[in-house]
Amino acid sequence: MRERLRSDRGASIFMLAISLFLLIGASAIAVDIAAIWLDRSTDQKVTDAAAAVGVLEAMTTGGQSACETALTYVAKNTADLDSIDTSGCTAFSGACVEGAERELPVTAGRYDLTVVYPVPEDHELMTSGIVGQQDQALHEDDGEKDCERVGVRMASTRNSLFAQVLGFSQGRTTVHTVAKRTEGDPRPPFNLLVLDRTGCNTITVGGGGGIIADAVIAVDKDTGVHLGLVPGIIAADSDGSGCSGSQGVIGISGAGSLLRSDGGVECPTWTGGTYLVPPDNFTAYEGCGQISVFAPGTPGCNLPACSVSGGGNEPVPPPTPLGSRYTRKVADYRYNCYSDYTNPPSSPDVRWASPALTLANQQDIDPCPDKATRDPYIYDLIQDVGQTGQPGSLPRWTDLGYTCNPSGSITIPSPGVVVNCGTLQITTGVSVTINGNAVFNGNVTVNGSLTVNPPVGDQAWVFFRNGRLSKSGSGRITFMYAMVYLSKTSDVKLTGGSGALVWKAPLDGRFEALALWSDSPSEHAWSGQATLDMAGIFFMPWATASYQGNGVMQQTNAQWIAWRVSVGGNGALRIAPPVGNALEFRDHMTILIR
Amino acid sequence: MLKRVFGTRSKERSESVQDDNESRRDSGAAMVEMAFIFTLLVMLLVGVVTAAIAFGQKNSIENAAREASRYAATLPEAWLNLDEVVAVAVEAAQGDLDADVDGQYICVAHTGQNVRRVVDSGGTTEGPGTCYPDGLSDSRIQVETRRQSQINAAIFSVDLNLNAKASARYERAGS
Repeated sequence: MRERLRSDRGASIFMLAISLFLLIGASAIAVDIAAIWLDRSTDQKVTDAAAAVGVLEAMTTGGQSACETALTYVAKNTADLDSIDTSGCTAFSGACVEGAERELPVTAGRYDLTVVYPVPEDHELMTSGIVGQQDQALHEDDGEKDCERVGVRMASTRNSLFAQVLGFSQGRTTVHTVAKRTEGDPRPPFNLLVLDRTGCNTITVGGGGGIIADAVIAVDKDTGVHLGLVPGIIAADSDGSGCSGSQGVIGISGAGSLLRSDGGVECPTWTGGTYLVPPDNFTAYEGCGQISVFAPGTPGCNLPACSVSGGGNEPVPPPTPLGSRYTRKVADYRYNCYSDYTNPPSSPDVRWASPALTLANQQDIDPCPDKATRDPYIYDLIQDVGQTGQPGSLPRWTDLGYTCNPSGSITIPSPGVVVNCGTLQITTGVSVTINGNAVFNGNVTVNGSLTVNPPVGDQAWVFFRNGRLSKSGSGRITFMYAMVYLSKTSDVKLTGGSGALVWKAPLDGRFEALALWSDSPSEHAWSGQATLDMAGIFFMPWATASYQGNGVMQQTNAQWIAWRVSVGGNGALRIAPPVGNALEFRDHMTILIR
Repeated sequence: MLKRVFGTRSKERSESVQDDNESRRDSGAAMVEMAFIFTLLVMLLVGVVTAAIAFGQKNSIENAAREASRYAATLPEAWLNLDEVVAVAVEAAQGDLDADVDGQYICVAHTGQNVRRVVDSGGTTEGPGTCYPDGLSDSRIQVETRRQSQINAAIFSVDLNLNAKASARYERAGS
């Protein structure tokens, strides 16, 4: 016995057993912990993508779609999931209410998922998932709106590979992401933006006509150095829900009809043409810009986003998804910074104020964030001018001794005039020059010449209380550094021909760069002119802007924002916005808060 | 007596020799056992280390796919450069998707533009298409990363084809 005790035999086996147990145990734990950390990394990828796409859908389509799409992206980004039951997402139907948190727990395979929308500021998902639960935002949350946040939590359970020998049968890890939609960097200016949110044929080109968005020169605001060309951009905000049959948001019909956007860089959809853009003669490439539609059917020209018929040309480049809504709010913020658009004043009854600007009438905007420091310039002007009377003691036309069918050459000195005529007829050979502001109570028909031309260094406004501004083919209209306001009972019909149309926005002041603000829902019609010079922002959020007739309407410094746009009759509308002074839209972007 | 003495001595010598032999035998057995144990330990150690490396590589290419898809999803389209997205994936992989990696494969696709870029041992190719079918139809970024790896247990090894995919909705307007 003693001898056996003295023997070393078996000691190695004992040591081996102990060593192997410890080593295998440590290895098992290490491998399983590594697997869980791999799960954690993968799951974070999944929740990032799901929350990001969820908030995109929440902002554009609604909560239910946000939930469904987020869960779909979870399935697509998870190797061991084919699909996820999204039927519970009906819990998110209906409008989002601030503070009214809704959650949907879903189990799929080895994953427990939770979709949260909206995500209140004090929700647990707004804190870190890392030990300690301290606030840890990948990006700082920069807003207070719960309805702009979507959260996705993902807990995955993994059966231990080896650690079961030590009694650890499963491991579990939980990650989450909250995504928030916000506005990011300024984007190149839109040449043309149509605001109709649901309509069909919101951009139509027919009869051999064309709309061309020119590339424009980007300028360094600090140094004035020309940086090169940015692409022309045409955008339609309609979701296409009003379309049926073969109709599209963009409708191109008729032989030779053309919708094109040009860019500063050669691209795969380059049509072969180039042209030089002064002053630095940058080369612009035809068909290398951007045409974007909010409706489904893109990329490419497909219903309901786009339709081509009757021999019309396919749009170049092919339309792409707009991605996010672009509303009129940029114009409102700049020129009409109002506190609460949903509770309009009772008087005056202007289109932007009554009915209220809501999603219901497709003019959704938020209260202006700078309302404490900026004035509602348009609203102030409407109030100042009113529906009757003589604002600012402007003299009345007839009190100055003129008839509503004047003759000869008339010059009205500053500060201007109230034209109290049912119809002011400026016949051939007659010239009317107003060196100040002008209020028109009714129609203005121009066969001769109408000029609004403020004193040097000043700016002017032209206010149409009622009626139509029209001109014949040979008539001449000049609005030099003047902002034109059209009430909801006014419109313009400017026939083309041998005449001239010069319409330039003020260079500074409260209406800087604004050439037209129209609250009218009537069609606004232009045609080609022998002399044409339009510069500034033409804001017609309720009206269809129509361009008909032969000739090219080339606007080198104009930005068009309209309810709809229609071009036909061999007319070609070329639009190039005033870079540096156009309405500046911002890209939407998603930030992740973890 | 002598016999007893000698006998005793002889017995003691015999026991001593036997002890020496047993000790020698034990020592040899221990050597064999240690050699066996050492081999097993080395195999286990190498296996654990190479498995950990493989886990790390898998983690890296997952991270690369995630970072690249997220990066591309936020780029303004006018400046969307798939080359740049590939570079982000390579950088995020921290060496695990470099050009000299066995089986290196990086695919980046923008479904909205119907264009994809593939970087692998055959070089770089760009053309229409997606990186992989996912049943979705929206404008999105797909990134797929692959590489080869190996779990090595000294006397045998297991080849691994690591793969990671990420789909992210293109987030910027104009996509």
